[in-house]
Amino acid sequence: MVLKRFWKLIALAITIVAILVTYFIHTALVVASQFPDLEIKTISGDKSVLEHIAITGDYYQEEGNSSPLIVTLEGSTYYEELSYFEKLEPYFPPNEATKLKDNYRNFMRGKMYNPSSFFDNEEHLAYVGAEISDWSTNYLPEYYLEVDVLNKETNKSHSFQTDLPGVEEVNHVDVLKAQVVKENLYVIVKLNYLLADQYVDEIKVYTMDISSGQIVGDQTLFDPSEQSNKDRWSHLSFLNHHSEIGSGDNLLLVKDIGRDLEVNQTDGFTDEIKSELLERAFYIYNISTNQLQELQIPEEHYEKLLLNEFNLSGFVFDTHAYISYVDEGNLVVLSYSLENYKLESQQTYSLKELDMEDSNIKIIDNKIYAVENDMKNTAKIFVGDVTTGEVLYKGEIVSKQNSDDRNDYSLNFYSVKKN
Amino acid sequence: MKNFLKLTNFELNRFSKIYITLIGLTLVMQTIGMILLSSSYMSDVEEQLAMGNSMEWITINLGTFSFSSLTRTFWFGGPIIIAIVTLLIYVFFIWYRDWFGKNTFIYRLLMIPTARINLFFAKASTIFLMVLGLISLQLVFILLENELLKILVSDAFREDQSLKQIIFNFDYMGVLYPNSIIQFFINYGIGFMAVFVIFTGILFERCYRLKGILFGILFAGVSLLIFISPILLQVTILNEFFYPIEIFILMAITGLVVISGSIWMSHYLLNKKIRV
Amino acid sequence: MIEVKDITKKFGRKKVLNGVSFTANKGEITCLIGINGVGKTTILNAIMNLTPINSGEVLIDGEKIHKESYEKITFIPDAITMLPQMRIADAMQFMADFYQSWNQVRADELLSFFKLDPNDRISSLSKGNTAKVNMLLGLALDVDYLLMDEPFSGIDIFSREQIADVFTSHLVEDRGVVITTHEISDIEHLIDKAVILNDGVVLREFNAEDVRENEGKSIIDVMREVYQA
Repeated sequence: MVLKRFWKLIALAITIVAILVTYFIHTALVVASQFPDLEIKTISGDKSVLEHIAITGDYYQEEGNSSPLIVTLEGSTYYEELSYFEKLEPYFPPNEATKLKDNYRNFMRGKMYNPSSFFDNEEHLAYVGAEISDWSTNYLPEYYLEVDVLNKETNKSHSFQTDLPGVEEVNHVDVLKAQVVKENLYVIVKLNYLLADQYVDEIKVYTMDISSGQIVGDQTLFDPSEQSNKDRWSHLSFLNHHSEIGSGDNLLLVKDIGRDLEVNQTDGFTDEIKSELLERAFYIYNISTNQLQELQIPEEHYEKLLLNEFNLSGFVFDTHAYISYVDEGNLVVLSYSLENYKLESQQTYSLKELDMEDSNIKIIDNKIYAVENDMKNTAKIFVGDVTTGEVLYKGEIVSKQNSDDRNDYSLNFYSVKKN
Repeated sequence: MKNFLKLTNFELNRFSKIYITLIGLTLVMQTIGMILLSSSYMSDVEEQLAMGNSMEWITINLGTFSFSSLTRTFWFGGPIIIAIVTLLIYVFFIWYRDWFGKNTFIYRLLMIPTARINLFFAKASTIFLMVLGLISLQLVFILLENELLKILVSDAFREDQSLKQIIFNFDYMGVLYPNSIIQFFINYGIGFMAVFVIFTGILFERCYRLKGILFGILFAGVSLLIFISPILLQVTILNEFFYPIEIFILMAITGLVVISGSIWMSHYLLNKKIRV
Repeated sequence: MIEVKDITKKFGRKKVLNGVSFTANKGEITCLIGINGVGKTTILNAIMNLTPINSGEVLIDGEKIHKESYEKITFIPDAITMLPQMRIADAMQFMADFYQSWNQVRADELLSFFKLDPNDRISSLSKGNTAKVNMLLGLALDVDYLLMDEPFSGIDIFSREQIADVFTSHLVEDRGVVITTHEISDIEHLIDKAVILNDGVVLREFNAEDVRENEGKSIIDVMREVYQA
């Protein structure tokens, strides 16, 4: 009787529940099967060198599905497979700054999670963010520095804002490093602006008095007017870069000078512009001593560094600075001592037998990591010891399913991180 | 509870003819669309084959036929839009029909020995059930039409798509059929919250007539402000103060505040201010 | 007992009810008398909480109206309050679904008394039969109080007689009935108590029997007196 009179209500409710439950089970299964489970397969060596290492990149599928992913010894994690709440986290993969959020939840509110904006040691956690307050009439951003320093002992933070002294019309401001030394906060920023019709980079070191919030020192590391040469271009880059919160005092910088050549095409219509690197110099800047020291590059490496403009990586780790480049399938590492700025050792590893065309390089704990970045469905991994030159590990990221029928995707790894 | 179910069933029956028509219209139009489009495509293909063109040449120049060939046309989207518009109108009509005409049914409804808010819940549930019903049945229809496509277009010229691809390729279906179940609850939760607020607005109009329209609009405006207040705070004075998870929790709270406010206000209006 | 205490009601600036008070007892037929637009229907709506009042209160057996009260008091408006597409049987089923006080035996009795076919659609009924169904749906509830709004207006003479018969039958016995009318003559003999309304106030509330015996006046005589004063 009840069934007969309520059949429409009951039928509709059952239809809805049955179909929607099936749909969500189906989608969960589809999403789960969409992304291949990846694993790291050892070719030679001990895979323990990959403990606490995360390789991050992107996954692309021909049909248009893509997802950022992390590969560790435990397997792969895809962003798209995360739960709704995990996806609410603004950064994937997490970086060193996002990890600070777990311990300093209130301090980290409203900050940009750019690791180079942070400084973290026993006593202090400091943040310097270059933020835009307004846009000027000629569409240039007006920057200010948002500074916040947490005293870990008292758990009190002191925040202030400050304009950038000596900065007028600027295109872009990047915070390269923040460092607390005693009562002072050192902030290194890179500015990009137009000088005599030429975009130039300027690296400035500001010294701030934390208690007063005043800028007490303002110094420019390289004279930007040198860069405004009409026939030459010049770039200043910071090598031990954004992905880490460095507590060390030393910055590794590279200054490139080059020129653009117009190469006449045979068809006579288009002129291709070809860039040529002419000079390359490496510097270590020590914040505490305020010293800029050039690193001497041996002649045979210098030539190759000029030829391999984009295959350069540099790191500062503990007591050493490293300059690394790839040349004709060889991975070369130059190690400089930070005590005397002298070349201490040089290592060459052959990546030829691994057939790695293009790779990302990272030095962590005296080990050099190279991960192939060739948009294939696998990626080779190489690990070497930079002090001894020993080859520690060779391996490959492959699909666990191990089947050849899934060639419809490619992997692009762009970073190696300490987990 | 019993009275609520009886009322819901009653409300559902009152609209069932139009509702079943909507379901039928959707299935019929989409099926006809599939038959027309695929047969016109196949006749183009046959024409080309007769002209001696190879299958490869045809798939390149005419393109292959997939479910998306249908979803982009009015045959597919038309009935969905008609259904959405009908249900939107019915959100209003479900109340006003009780006041209209000589046989004013609202006398009867208000004199039922049950809490009057049950009328509100029954009408809201009817709308929710009909929305979810159409959403569910459309999924089944897509699967049926996809099978039909396999019969109508031969393998060589057909590009098979999974349910997810069909939904992914059809813009506004992403909102209707999210991947995650939490997103589903968020989307429909917001939709149903809006229905509650509109219902309260309608009751304002029914209680205060012309002046009530203003009250109703004000109520809806205040509800919207309360609901999005965490975001407003976030982008104005608080300057990205909240973490995303906190915004989520806050908006879940403000959403519940809006829903309870709407129910409480409707309860008050139905008991103290309603006019027949 | 239904007690209407000093109720006022405004439509915009216009005061429709300006302090109306009266009582209606169980076992009596109380008639609200007044010309059209005097607020009779509004009073019934206010008793049933179908329209808000600006001040005053209504008590039913000493209580303000609440949801269970609708099992005890019912209202038969001047138009039927069922969906036109319903059959009489559907309408009775609806009542049975929602009212514990629904008495199907009595409903069947009324059906045969009014000579109605339960399979007829409400929309297809004549005016008179529609009014009878409307009456049936209210009378078949085992309630203590019945409110009726103009039960005789606009229907044919035979239906009118049939309905009037109901008032003298056991169907109404022991219940408190409040009816409104602007035309007293047909039902004068049925009425126990009259409440004469004008301009939103009660001009006179009296017991018909008492007035007839003590003053030798009919209700119409009293009305004449009151209105011409």
